[in-house]
Amino acid sequence: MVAVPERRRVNHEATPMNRATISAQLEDFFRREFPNPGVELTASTDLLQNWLVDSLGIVNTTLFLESRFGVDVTRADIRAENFQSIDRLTDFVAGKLDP
Amino acid sequence: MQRLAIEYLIHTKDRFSDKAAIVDADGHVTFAELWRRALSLAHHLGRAVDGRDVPIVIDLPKCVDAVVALVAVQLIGQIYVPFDPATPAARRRRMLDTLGEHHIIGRDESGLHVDGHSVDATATGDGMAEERVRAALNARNSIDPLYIIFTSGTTGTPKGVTISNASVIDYIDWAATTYRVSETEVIGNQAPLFFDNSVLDLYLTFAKGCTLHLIPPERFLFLPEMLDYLEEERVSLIFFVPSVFANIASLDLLAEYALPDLRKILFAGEPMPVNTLKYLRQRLPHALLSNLYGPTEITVDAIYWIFGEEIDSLRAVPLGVPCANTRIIFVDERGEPVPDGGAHAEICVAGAGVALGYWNDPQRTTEVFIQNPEHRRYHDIVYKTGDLGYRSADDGLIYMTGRKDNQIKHMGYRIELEDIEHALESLHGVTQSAVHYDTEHKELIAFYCSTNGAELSDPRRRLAEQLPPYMLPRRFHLLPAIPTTPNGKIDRRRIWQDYGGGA
Repeated sequence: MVAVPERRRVNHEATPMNRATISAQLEDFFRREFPNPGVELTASTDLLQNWLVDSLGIVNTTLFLESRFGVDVTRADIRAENFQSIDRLTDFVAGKLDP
Repeated sequence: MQRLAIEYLIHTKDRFSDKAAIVDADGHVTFAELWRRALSLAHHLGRAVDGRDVPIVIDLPKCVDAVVALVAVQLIGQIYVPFDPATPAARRRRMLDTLGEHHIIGRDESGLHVDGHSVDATATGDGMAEERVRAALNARNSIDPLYIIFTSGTTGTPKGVTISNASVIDYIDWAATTYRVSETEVIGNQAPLFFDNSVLDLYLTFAKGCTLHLIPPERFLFLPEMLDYLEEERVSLIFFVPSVFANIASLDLLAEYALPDLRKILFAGEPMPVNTLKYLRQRLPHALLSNLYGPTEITVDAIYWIFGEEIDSLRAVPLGVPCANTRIIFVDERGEPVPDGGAHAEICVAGAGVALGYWNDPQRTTEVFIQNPEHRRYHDIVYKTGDLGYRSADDGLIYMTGRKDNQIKHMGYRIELEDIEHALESLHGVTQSAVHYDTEHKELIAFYCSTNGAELSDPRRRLAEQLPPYMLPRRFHLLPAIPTTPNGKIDRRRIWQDYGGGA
């Protein structure tokens, strides 16, 4: 029985990522997964307004962080302060990759 | 003999007077305080409201005040109508028009108001006199309406499902017995008051003297915050929509929570994914797991199942067996009864929970509340759910296979796709539309045509002026034309086939 999902992890240790790369990949993710034509999206846009409006959005973003950046997201990490904007998510990922 | 749902609270307010009854983000009220505050609001409400069977809108977020309000409405012998305060103005207007004569309980910084006038509804204010309460309650009986809950309609105008006191009493007595609920229960509420799953939480609390936690909705956005709440408050019973559990399972959040106090997990509102059910059993082996099924029109639930050892071998999640005082009938496309249903048989519900119909809407009422097709010997009303299903020959349980129309469930919310299409087609420039629900990604996707072939700018924000947030499509695709079937109807399957994946 494999009821407990296997969360995909990618090992990125060989290719350290800079903040600009992380931020750009996050922005691309939000444009693709949460399209909002006509609404501005910048690194400081409040994601909890138009983008991450339900828990499914938070779940999908968390799974993206884990699979794309190989970070380990725990119960203490899934909080509004980390998901507020692309800037905050970038801080969070960068902090996890280079503690 | 109990006639009115409010009688539950009349008994428990004395037995459990100093115990916390309702808890929200701002604090809690005891049973005695809840009663006093409701008497106080009823005192003002009684002066504003005249006549029999008058709907009183509760235009409040989920909070202690909202519970005070729905008790106060019962004390003056009227019908409460929980509204989603986020309902956009135009939709709200249509709902109020459907109600006809009505009053509104709302709130601003200074406190509660009735029809815009501030009222003192604190525990120390003047209360409605006991003999006046008695007179108001004596004038009502068990088949009088208790509440009206609105649900999405295909015409774009929501329908007001009208439920009697008797139906709620029957349902709550069944639930209290089936789930062995006593005053030791700490209930964690997820459903907003305008979604009838909250009826179980509220009236079990009133009936048994439980403590009800109205978990702040924002905690359901970041699920660890919700799980922290269950852990800290030692919640013992929850009745949530399956989406919440599916999201918990996707992140395997229960690996970090033991939740030893959580003994009863109930779910309803949409199909429970089989892997999510197995996940819950694996992570919370000590908890009772129960699936429930029922549209608002039959009073919360008509079918239920408590899972046992069979979970491991399940390939689909059954709805289960009928609740007490409920009978399930299957009918085919021609309306003829078919004993055990089938892939294209509609589930119909007969019994104590069947609603009084749709408020002020005899036409839509007679379309779905029909004479039991099995006989014509006496007046026997069954509700046609629109859900398709059958009773399995293998385990004797009822299973659901789909819908006969375009109603979907999104995060537990019941939505008629036509309701969204009506709103979309009212936007300037949109000539035709078709909304699809992608069940795999749980996304609403809108396809539309426009007069000059121009793309809509900022469609989500414009639709938000007409639809509640959970009905807003995630993606919008402009099409040159909407494909139709030979008889001219929108060909929903072809739209998704042609434009779905790569669009």
